[in-house]
Amino acid sequence: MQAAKDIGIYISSVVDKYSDMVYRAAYHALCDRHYAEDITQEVFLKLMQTLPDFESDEHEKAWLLRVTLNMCKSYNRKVYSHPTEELDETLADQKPVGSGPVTEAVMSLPDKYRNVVYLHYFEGYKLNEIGEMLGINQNTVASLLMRARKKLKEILGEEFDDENN
Amino acid sequence: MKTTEYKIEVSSLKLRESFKEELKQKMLAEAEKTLSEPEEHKPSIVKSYSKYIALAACLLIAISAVGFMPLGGKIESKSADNASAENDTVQNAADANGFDDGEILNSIINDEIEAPAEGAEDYADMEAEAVEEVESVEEAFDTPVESGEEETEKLLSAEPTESEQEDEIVAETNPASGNGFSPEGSRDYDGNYNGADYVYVGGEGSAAYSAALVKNDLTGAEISFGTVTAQTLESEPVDIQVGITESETESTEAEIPSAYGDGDAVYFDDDSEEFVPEAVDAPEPADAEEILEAEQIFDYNSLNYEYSMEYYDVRDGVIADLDKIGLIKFEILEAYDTEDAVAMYIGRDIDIDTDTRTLYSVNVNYDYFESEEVGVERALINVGTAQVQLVGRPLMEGEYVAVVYENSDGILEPVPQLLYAVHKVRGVDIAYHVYCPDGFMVDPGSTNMGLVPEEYEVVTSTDNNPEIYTQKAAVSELTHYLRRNILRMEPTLIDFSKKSVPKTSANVNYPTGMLASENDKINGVAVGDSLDDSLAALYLSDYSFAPDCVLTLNASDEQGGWYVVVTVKDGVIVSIEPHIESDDILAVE
Repeated sequence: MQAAKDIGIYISSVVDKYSDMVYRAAYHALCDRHYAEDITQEVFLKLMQTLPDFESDEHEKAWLLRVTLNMCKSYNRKVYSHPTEELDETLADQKPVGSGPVTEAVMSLPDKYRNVVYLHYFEGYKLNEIGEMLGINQNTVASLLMRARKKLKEILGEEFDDENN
Repeated sequence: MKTTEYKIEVSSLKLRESFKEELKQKMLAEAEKTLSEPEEHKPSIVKSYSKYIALAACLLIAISAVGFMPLGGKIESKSADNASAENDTVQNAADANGFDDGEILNSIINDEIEAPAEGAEDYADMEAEAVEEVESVEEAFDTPVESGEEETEKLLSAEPTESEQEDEIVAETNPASGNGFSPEGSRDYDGNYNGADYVYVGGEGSAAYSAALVKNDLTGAEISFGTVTAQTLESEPVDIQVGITESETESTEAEIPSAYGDGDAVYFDDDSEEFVPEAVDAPEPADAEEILEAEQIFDYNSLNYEYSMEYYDVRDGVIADLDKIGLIKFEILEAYDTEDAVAMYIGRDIDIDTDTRTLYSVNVNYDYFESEEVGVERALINVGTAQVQLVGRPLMEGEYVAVVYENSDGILEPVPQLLYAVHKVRGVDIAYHVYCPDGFMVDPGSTNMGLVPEEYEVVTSTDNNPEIYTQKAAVSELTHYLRRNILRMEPTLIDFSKKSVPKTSANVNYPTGMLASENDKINGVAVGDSLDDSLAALYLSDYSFAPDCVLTLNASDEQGGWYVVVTVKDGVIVSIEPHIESDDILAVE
């Protein structure tokens, strides 16, 4: 009974604390709110299936983000590896839906740019941390960010990040 | 500021409260399910990793044993290349004497076959490298010696450590290739005939198979240990898992690649979806019928390898004629369309033939000739466009290992016979040879690990144009061999150490006769300064194509926001022209 109560408290806290983050990351990766919700659910169910022993909150957060991004990557692979009707059905009608002009600009970028922009500018991860999370080289992350800024500047008509330029 | 707006906007992206409540209920049900079956769930994690614990112990014993056993006499000091060279001779000897595979193995074990003359020339070199090789091998299999409890606790943690990942490597990649990595390599853990072992190898011919078999037994001594250990602890073979993503493991059915052009392809798993237990849940192996079906569906006759070149043909007939070469790992950042590519070269009098070739911007991540990490963005051009497609070209985004050369325009070009797509398989970089019409059977150093049908092709870069893979090898082993073998020719190497050398601007005329005074400074940057030292002060809007020629670049003063044109020669600023109107500069992208 106590265990069930404890897990209930844990579930409540982890959902309140991280579900929006997972949802945002999935949304950035997939550009679709419905699929982002599906992925969010999958990630948290996976958490319950494995019940990992996290060393810290940061560890827990990084785990959730990485699982989210990997699930999104798998999803994208599935879609793009069958570039016929499935692709048309799933993506053709989807316009980037953001909650504002800047987010819309970000969402119009290819997914590799969206992910690094989100992780760097919203979650505040450093380049090396993003590299580890996405499994790519740190220099590649830097290049992707630079290119993303440049593309965003073209879209927005002004610098996306004055400080880092 | 846009980043602030972005943060505010993203913060407003939230899940519905009803969704959260529903999610909590589902999680609670899932957790109860998990907790109510602790005997089945938790132990499954332990069970999954138990093989690694035992594997680690077995490896330690095995590595120790190698130090004492006179197996082969030289194994403890034999580098991969040494072994490879020996394999070549072994194969030659085998061909000459009509040895079968078993005899070859026995001969090697008994040290009956001497190293080749060419290999002998390099023995000093090899021995120097051997220490490093042995160290790296030991390091790779250096499983922490901890108490059982500590080990178990560590293995149960959510994220695997490096050593854990490496342990996974042993367990996954080696048996997974199913290509005869042990003397009984044709058999799976249950001792049954494993048809996957022969599907591809048979296509190559018995010579290639023999080489792979011998090679694996020698340089892959550690691999054999892993296989043996896995056999004792895991009843299910994991042969088919390489090349199958997490998503495919859900169905645990081996995907059968379609004929070339159908677009149904197998894709690779860069990382496991999560770190624990399912990562080691091996899918059911494809049955013999499925494999046979795959073999029949995959029409190798559609590939032209009539004039296939062996590795030494490529080295002596292609690489030897190149001026500046490199052996690099690069990642494609962007493929430019023809219009963009042409725009970049306006005024440079360069014909880059974008009708049949695609210009890429790539990030060079590693220089294997110099054995150092680099991080420079360079231009690379390769055959194939979306309109004019060759098999597997244009390249799809991702990482590649290749021998490249710098053409007269300062653009990198891969040697087509030595171009490998890199896929991470359980944390290990595996190089997949990208099909090349005249390089089908190139197998540098007999590093070929063999392929299972599921690995023949992956997602397409363009519709119905998959990359087709013909061989695979561990990146470390392949590059180690190529590095030493090519460096022996004393080629001129491309210098990738120059970081962030600027790219030429598109339509700003070359500012001849505009050399500024050495006293002129713009934003703290002066004529005569090293460009590398000035990069922090000047925001460069683009990057380099050619490192060692006079360049013009667009740069802007961060505070002022205006553009400058900086002319650079050999990495040193020779002129700066300020206050160029931004309208005068055509954006490259």
